[in-house]
Amino acid sequence: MLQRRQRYSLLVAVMLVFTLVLAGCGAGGGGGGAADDEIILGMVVATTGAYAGGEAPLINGARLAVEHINAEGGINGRQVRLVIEDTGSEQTGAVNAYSRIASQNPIAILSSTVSAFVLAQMEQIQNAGIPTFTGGGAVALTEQNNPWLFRVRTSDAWVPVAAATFAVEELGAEKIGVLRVNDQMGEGWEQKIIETLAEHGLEPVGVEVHGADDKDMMPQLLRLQNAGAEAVIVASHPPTHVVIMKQRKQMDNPFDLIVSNSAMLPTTLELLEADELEGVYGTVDAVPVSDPFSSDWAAEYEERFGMAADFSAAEYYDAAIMVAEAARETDGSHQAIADYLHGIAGRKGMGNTWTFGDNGDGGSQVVIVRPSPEGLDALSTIVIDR
Amino acid sequence: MFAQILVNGIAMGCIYALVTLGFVLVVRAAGVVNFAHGEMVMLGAYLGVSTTAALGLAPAVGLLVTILIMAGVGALFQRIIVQPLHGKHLLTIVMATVGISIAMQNGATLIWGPYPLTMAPFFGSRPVNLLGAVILPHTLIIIALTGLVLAALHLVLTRTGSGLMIQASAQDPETARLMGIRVQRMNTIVFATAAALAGMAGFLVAPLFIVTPSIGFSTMLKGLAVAILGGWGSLQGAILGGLLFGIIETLAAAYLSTAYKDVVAFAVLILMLLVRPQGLFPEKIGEKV
Amino acid sequence: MLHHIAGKMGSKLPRWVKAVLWAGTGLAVLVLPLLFPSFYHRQLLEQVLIFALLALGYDLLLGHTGQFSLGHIALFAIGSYTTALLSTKAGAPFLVGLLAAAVVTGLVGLAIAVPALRIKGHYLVVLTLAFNEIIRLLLTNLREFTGGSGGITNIPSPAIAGFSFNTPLKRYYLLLAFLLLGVLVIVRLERSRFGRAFKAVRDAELAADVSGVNIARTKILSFVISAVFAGVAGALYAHTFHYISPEFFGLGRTIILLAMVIVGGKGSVAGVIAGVALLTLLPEALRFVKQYYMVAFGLGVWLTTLFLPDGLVAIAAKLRDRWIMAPGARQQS
Repeated sequence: MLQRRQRYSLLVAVMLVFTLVLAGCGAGGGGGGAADDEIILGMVVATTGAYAGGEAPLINGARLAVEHINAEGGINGRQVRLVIEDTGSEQTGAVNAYSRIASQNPIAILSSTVSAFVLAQMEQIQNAGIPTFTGGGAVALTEQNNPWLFRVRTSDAWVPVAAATFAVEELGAEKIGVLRVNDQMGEGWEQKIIETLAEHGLEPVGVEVHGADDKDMMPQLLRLQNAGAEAVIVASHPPTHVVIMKQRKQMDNPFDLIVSNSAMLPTTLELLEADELEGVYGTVDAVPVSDPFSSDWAAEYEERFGMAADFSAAEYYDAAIMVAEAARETDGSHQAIADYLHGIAGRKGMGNTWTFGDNGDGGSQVVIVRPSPEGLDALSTIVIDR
Repeated sequence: MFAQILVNGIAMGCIYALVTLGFVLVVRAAGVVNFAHGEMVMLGAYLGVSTTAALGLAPAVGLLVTILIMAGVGALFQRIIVQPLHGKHLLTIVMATVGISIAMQNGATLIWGPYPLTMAPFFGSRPVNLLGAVILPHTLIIIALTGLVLAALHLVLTRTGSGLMIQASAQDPETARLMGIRVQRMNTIVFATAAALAGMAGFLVAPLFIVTPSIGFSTMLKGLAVAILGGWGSLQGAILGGLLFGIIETLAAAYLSTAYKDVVAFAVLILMLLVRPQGLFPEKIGEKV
Repeated sequence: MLHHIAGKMGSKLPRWVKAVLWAGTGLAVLVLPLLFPSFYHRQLLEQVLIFALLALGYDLLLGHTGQFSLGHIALFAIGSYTTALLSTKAGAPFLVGLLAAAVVTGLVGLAIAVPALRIKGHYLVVLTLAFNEIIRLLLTNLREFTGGSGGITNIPSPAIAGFSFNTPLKRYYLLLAFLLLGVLVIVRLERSRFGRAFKAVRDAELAADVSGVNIARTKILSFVISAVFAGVAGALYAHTFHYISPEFFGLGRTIILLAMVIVGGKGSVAGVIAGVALLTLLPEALRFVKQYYMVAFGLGVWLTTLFLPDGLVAIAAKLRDRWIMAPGARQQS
């Protein structure tokens, strides 16, 4: 009885599928695409889900860039339009979003800062032949020999090295601990820190790991305190960074902290009090607000978006500006733009100093900062010679 | 260090107890496995942030307001989502609560934004020194309030008329109905109570950590584990299981490798299921087939 | 074989109608990727096909045998990782990796089945949930072996006898072939005495026991076969998308898989496929709603349970009864 119904409904099911695929198409997948007098700049980031908060500044940076580009007459007389597709903070969504944008033939694509998503998109980035930018830090991204991928970030090959070097040379610490999240970024930081410490003849006094969803950091902090750590390098994400700093203060700040970039975003700093930031240092790629090169730009950003300009927004701004410049200076084809970008070296931008080289790994700057609730104080700027 | 870890463990245990108690109440009284229960905790946390930060209410007032709102949410949930699906297959009801859970989680992002939020602890963030342990006053408040609430609940369930009616309709709805007890109203009260307990847990735990839309999901998983640990459907199992779980989790994290602590936790859970599936504190009630 | 299935279609419909509908479906399925030439659409179709295979195996366990397991994504992961490691680290050919994935995952399914014999209902749920999480954590933590959180990159496209399925179009037909094979297996099982045994275990275990059904063997068979489906689907996934990481195989995906089967209609081949298609394509179709789309999706899932508690499959039955059946021949469903 039931079986007949099943056999039969297979047909209706297929018709349903058909209709849905058509619907998906109609909602803008195959359709869309630029009008003749405009150029599309694609963007694939999380506007919903767990990563939406972290990637919102990127959208701001891109928007500001598009406004500036259009104010200068666009690219070869054509206005630029920013089209954003949502990754949904999830791998399949990221892959689909990229395909969707690529089918609209944008001049370039600003993709996600989540390295796993970009790795999942790698095949399409290769096939589509559209210059794609990522703010992701994982070293693996630029080891794939993909001529179309450009990293607009200082990779995790350098930033943790700077952090560890700072701890040893500037803070004079010998007992250094590591506290990191159990994902690709955390793994990368741990490896590089251990390598750097070894070069100075040191070993970490403790390496503590936490799950991305873990809320309580007390056990890890207590263990590091017991191990006698003088400074702890933290590689994590904003929610956990905040908990770490709050709980460390409850312990009366037994050690200094050097925290990874996402802790230094304005939306993270907002959640912290001055005494929770005592003895805290951070790494960022740039401090647009205080660097004289970018301070005017940062002021405009703050006025436009109501929040302080951070390095990630600035880096995506730079990406869009460099694409526009490449398009104006060449015939504007994807290949020409890519070649131009590969040729950029030592170029100072709002968010970094750019040298893309052969493998597209663009960032070469790390700034060690002292945070306070008002903002970041740049202590030292390191430009890596690559 | 041990005293500190123990006190923190007990506080986390209280939170788990509150969350799981609500979950198990619903399982027991209405036969529903509510996958959206974790989102009630999340909602309680967000309401905590809003009432104390945005509205500037005193924490005690904020807590009361949150509990009242959450009770309302629970009642609405029962009326709109659960009641219409009465009698349907278990998986259908589970799927409905899953759908609502997704909607609630993303709805929270729309209302409160995607950035993490914080809430000030009761009586400030300066820890006190108690028997060598450095403890936030807030932690002690959690333990005290939980004790009060559980005691009150126990009194209501065992000493008052309404409480006995709830127990009756939980154990045997058909007979209860024959005796004139309005079973559906009891169910609504049960859902409201469960949501209020969850919301209270969320409110209390928010100042210790960070409030994001995803805290509900991970709480749900732990609640499920505690319910199994304590004995499925057992109220005292939920409370004692929750306390035990909180203490063991905190101790394990402090003294074992933190990378593998989750693996250990799940392995222990599996062992528990294989060796003593009825849990640590099973109650003798008829299994709802 | 086809004749066998078509014959069972129910004598309620005129034969020519059935023939047209079957031919139409077959043609539509074969022609679908040609009608949608963009990479984007073809990749969506690949996702539907792979998850349909996974979901059919899962439904065997959940819908047919009534075993409420939430650990299926872990099996999917094991299949993916087996073939990914074999092909990237040992250079194993596609079919070897595929076979290995099927065997390894089947064995793991066997390993879960044994303790699951004594455990039912919500206990099984938590057991399998815990198993799912352990697998994911092991895949993340055993870095040297599995590549850790970074996952495994550059997994090659499927290749048989030197022919490489390196475009979505070619892969569509390969995946379709696997899906059809899977459907055939399920349909034959349904009809066989094993299928009846599965249903007996689901509906009335005690009665089944009394009437001579070997409960243990039936449950084990159900677990192992569904695990093999998951392993094959996992292998196909790895070779289609060329990149896997532990984060993909989390509990969120388990919930989606469950929703695909329930919303589509458990126990029904067509229902499951419809559910997979809907839940894969719906988020894409809802993109225009932007940040509200996940809320809409969640509410949509809820509304489906409210109006179609038996799944999408129920729509088909209603349609048939209303439009196609002659008034006198309408069945009381």
